[in-house]
Amino acid sequence: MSAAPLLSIRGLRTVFPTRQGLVRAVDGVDLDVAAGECLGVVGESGSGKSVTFQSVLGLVRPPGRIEAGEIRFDGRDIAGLPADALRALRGGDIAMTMQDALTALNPAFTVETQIVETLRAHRRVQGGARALRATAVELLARVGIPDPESRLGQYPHQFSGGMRQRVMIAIAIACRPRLLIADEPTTALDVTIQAQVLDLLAAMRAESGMGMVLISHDLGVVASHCDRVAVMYGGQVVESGPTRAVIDAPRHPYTRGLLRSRPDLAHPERPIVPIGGQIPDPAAPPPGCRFRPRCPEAGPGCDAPVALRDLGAGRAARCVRVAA
Amino acid sequence: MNPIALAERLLQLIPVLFGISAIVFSMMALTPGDPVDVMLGDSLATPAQRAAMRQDMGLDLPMHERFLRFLGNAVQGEFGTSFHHRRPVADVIAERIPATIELTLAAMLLALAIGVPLGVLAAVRRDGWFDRLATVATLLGVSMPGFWFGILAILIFSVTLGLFPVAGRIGYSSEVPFVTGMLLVDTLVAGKPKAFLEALRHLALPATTLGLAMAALLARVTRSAMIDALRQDYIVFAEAKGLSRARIVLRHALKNALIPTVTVAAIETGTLLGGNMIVETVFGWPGLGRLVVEAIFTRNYPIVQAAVLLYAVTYVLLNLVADILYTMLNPRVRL
Amino acid sequence: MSALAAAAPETRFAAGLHALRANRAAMLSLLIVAGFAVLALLAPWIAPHDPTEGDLLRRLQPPAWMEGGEAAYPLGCDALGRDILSRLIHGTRVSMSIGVAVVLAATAIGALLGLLAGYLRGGFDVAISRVVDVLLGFPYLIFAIGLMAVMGPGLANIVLVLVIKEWVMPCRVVRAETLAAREMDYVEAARALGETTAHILFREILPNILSTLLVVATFRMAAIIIIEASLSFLGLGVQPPAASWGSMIADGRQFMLDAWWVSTLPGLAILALVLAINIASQGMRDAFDPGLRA
Repeated sequence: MSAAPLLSIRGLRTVFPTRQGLVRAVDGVDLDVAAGECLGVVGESGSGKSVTFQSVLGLVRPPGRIEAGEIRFDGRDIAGLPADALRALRGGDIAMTMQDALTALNPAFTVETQIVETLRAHRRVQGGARALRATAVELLARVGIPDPESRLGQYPHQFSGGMRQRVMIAIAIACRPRLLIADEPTTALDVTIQAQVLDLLAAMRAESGMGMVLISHDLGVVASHCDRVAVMYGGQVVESGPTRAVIDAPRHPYTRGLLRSRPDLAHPERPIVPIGGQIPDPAAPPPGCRFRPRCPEAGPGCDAPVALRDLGAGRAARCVRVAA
Repeated sequence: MNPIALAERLLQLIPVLFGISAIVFSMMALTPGDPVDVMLGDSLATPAQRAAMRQDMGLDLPMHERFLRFLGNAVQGEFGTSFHHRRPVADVIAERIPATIELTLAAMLLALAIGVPLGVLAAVRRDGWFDRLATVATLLGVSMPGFWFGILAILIFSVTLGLFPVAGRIGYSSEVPFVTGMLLVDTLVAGKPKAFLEALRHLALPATTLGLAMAALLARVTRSAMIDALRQDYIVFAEAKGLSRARIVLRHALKNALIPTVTVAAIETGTLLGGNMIVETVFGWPGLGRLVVEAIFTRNYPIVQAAVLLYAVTYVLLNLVADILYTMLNPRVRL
Repeated sequence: MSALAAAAPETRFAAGLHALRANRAAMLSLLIVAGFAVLALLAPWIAPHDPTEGDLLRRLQPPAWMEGGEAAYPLGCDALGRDILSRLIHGTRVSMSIGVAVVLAATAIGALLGLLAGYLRGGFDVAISRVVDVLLGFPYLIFAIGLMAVMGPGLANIVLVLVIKEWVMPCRVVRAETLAAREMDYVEAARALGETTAHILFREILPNILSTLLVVATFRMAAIIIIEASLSFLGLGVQPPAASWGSMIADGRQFMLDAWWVSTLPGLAILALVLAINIASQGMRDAFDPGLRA
């Protein structure tokens, strides 16, 4: 990576006060996304992957808050930005799609209203209602919705699951964002439609040259569509690097566990081994390596805090047993 | 709601309306005392005259035939003669309806105007001081007996401060030509702004008294519906789109929250009809409610019977309106 | 909730009690309601004077803290010179006993019919549901006023009229809950074991909906107390000289300008009791039936 990255997160810590104490949902995360690049972020639910990018967008709900760290977008620190400036960024330069379009789209408004209000909020279209409508039609056509003119006036529940997901993507790319955060874009979908939606996202990225973050609990989804991958566990990044390299030769035991816990189409005879144990209590994570209680390779030294180590070739891992 | 669903819903009304008529009929048929005696009072009628009158009113027929006669007449708006007024019951009641509609509509609009913003603000500032204050206010509102509030309001605002008239709909000096019977409308149509203001001053306290409990109820419904709406994913997505806070709250959340609110408002308007009797009595408002209360004490049963039936039918129709509004506001159930 | 309900109603109830105890406003309100209940039970012994005997020399005598008041009549006297405090205390008896009697009878009848309708379904359910629909078709106060006009005023008639209308509320709730419970594992298991219908209804289903029923009952009691006061205010309720809060307000209306206390104090009593019941019932709903919390 030679040029300054589009998005650069350093030492991000996002906390939620709870009755059990302060939960560090994100605890010292470093991530970079270059312009036009696709970064996959993988982890179980509760790993902090979604909260990390809610923090980027300023969508952390009080009493949750960003406690430390910096988030640079295009070189500018946006972590402490006032609400208005953040709002201008959201849906404009940084857009997001959510897991389930059925709940993310407002059931009480037509698709047209929901696209046009986004365009209006960012004043991206010159001209009046007719120009806005034309842009909306164009957007629906771009995401591959047949007969966009007549579907514009319909409500979300009148679309099929896959089509709804396309509508949501159309809204997200409406203002030509430079970074698109796709949060679990396939989880709510049928297997047959998953590939179509991923291909659509890839096509949109290729067309516009935007950077993309693909958040998923499924390494397979990430493997086929992302240049680089970051694996998160317990609010921290435990391994990152070029996707191919990480999958071919994972350096962190958790990444290895993730790979073993999913079917491998190239080697169907290989047994599926789920990761034993449970994710740590977020209010009281184990000292030292957070994965230690579940790690088959844990040994002495693992109870001391461990930093993300640079392994060269763009790779890094957070494990004491990995030599640089 | 498509025509078929609407027709089905209307068909369901038939047994309910039949049952309501049966209850209203038997209420009066089982009344102790002979209606003829009540009607003639102490006048010196011969037994023969009395018998003729009984026959005339169909009181000598068997119960089921009397009920069928009652039903047939009721459908035509024929409820006999008011004992007291010596005029057809339908006419006496029709005269009183505009005043009651005016009062009820004013109370409902007031309740919506107070309750909805209160609920929205309380939800947005959830658990803050405004929310706590609103919670206390709405609890007081639903726990306060309306007639007592009305009496206090008269004492404070009319008698002591002299801000509002004590009773009635309009001063005697104002003459308003009859158009709809609703004075706020008629005074405007006649182009008499002074009379309009006077009518408004007369309406203020009774409408507030009647609408208070409903405002409190609507505030609670709106608050919980808004809290529910603001928790939804579509709010997060709307935020991610960069929409303004005002648009998110007032359009995205409120449009969904209004679905239960408007439904409750339509149903509760029926409850306001019941409250009318109390409020009209307290404020000397010449509407249907006061007519019924007067009729009860003068044992003017035809009036009571017709009015109770009218109230019940209106109430059932308002529930139908609530259903229709619900489907109209909620695109998901629109068929 | 369903899984919990199936597991053990006793545990759920205990958990609810625990949550209720932590709710200070609700506990305070329950204490106030209990205070009113004590007043109602012990009215003849607590009330300093006879509520129906007036002393015309004390006509519209102001409360003790005002000029012309005396300590023996702390809240003053009404137009017939009767002690307002004593009348309030006896009025508590009327309000509470009507509220409790109506709610108890309506809950018993409504719950039984609701259980049977929801469990047996078929013709019985259709018949009950029709009756419920018809009764729901009347605005509450209109129905009560109409029927009271026919039956004539009096304590027993008020209770009867209100029960005729009120049983519908618990019936609807119980019927819906029974319909849901019918499909649950614990009921199916009992059926498979060959338990009698009575056993299933009263030993399996009823305990599981008892807390919901309790919440509905308290919440409705507040409404009943206001309705009784409204009827008495209109002169269709408890008859003079007996003291009822509603009729006390009506009595004092015409003296409002000279003697505000006659109408104001009974209104405050209604407000206090109804408010306390409402807060308590809200607390109970939050504690026992978190699912009901909107």
